[in-house]
Amino acid sequence: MLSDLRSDVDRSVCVVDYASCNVVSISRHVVGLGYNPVISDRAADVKKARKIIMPGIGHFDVAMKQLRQRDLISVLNEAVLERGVPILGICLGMQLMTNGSEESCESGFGWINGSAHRIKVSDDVRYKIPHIGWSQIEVKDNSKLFPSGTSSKEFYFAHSYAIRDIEPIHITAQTTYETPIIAAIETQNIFGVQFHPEKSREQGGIVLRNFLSL
Amino acid sequence: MTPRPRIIPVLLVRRGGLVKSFGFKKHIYIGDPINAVRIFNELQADEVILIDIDASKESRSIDPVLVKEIGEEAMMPLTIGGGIRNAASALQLIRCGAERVLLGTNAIRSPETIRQISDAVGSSSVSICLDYKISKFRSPSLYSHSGLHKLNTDLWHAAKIAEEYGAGEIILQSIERDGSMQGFDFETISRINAMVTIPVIGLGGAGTFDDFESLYRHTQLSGMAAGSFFVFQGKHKGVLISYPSVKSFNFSEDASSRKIPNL
Repeated sequence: MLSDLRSDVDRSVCVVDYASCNVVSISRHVVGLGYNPVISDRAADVKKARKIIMPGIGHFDVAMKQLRQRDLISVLNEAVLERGVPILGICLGMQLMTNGSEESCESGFGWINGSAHRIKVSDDVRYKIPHIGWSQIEVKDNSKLFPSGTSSKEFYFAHSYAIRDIEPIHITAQTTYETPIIAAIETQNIFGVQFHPEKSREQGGIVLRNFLSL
Repeated sequence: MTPRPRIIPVLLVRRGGLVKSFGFKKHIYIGDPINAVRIFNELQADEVILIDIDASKESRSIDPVLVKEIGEEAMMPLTIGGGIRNAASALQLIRCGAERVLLGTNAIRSPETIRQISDAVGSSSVSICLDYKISKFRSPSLYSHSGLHKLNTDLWHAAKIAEEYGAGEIILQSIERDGSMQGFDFETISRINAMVTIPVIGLGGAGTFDDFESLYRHTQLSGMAAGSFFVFQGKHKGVLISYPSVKSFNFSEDASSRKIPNL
């Protein structure tokens, strides 16, 4: 009985729900992989979580304000920096892990040095902003999120901003949209993906599974 | 590596069932939307656009419960449209599993609404569908409410408004070609695509692989959408949902043997 309870706790994943995000498809994946998603914007749930997923769409500024209003900034800092809880940031959720954004007055969490900037493209009609669609990624060998053979697989991207000035050692995947774009970062317990694994078919599911089984 | 265009099925919902329209008028029932999304999921569609075609006329939004059922099913991006007129309703649909919300032509009349929705969910989560007809010797005219009301704004101006007020994508729908399977409207699509810096999706008229390939070669568009192409088979137009593998298309630029239609 006690062991059942413990395993139940170990399989609890907090999906941080601070209004601007699509939590339905993420939590469906989490359930499908045999974990218990706790979709919540309460500090108490973040404190209890063994894994944290931080989704996000929209504006950097708005997202940080929403997190602050819910008193989630310090709990997240504590979970990630002091207790080493594995966290996966998705799209804007990953950008929030850096120092800040060109579009924003708010600072980011600063867990990874770097910042988000508007994607620059030429006037070639093939490259429009936002970058929306399926793009192949190139993966480094030492990544925990991507199994070998993920390179050349397509993932779904939808973004106007991308992160820059990240230490190369923390970059685990990139894609190309006229110029290189950072597709994934990782360092210790901190993971981020620019694409949407929850919308990227089977290969996206594998990325989520690898994160959850860390 | 150049980006490849998205190939997007468009599903129309009327009173909970899936229908296909012809010239925005005649509609035939073709099945159940949740089942259709499930099939497109299995066939690895790039994305699906789902629109409640009566929502706007009936001054309501597409049913969030239906969107949630479909959102839980879809492991691919889902664009949802039908009667979305404010940020709260857009946000609710995104929380139900929509990747993007689709605003109707009518949104052009109140661009501030486009701005508010874009501010709330981000421009990459906002598409706007511009429905138009080509009138002789004049600019293409815009129509709202499923083609019922003609707007005073011309299409070129509307596309610029959409971009300026924060839409992240424009879907150009030719009303006259809807259900015709006679090919895309190259001229209009190409012109709009060159005018705006946001992605443009062509819709209306696709009937063959060649229609997609030729449109892409001509415009290098971000995406191409269709209804009939994905739901009808054979000359008698039997209902059978299909989605070709990406490899079935030849989008390479050097396929010079392919003919490009004259404009």
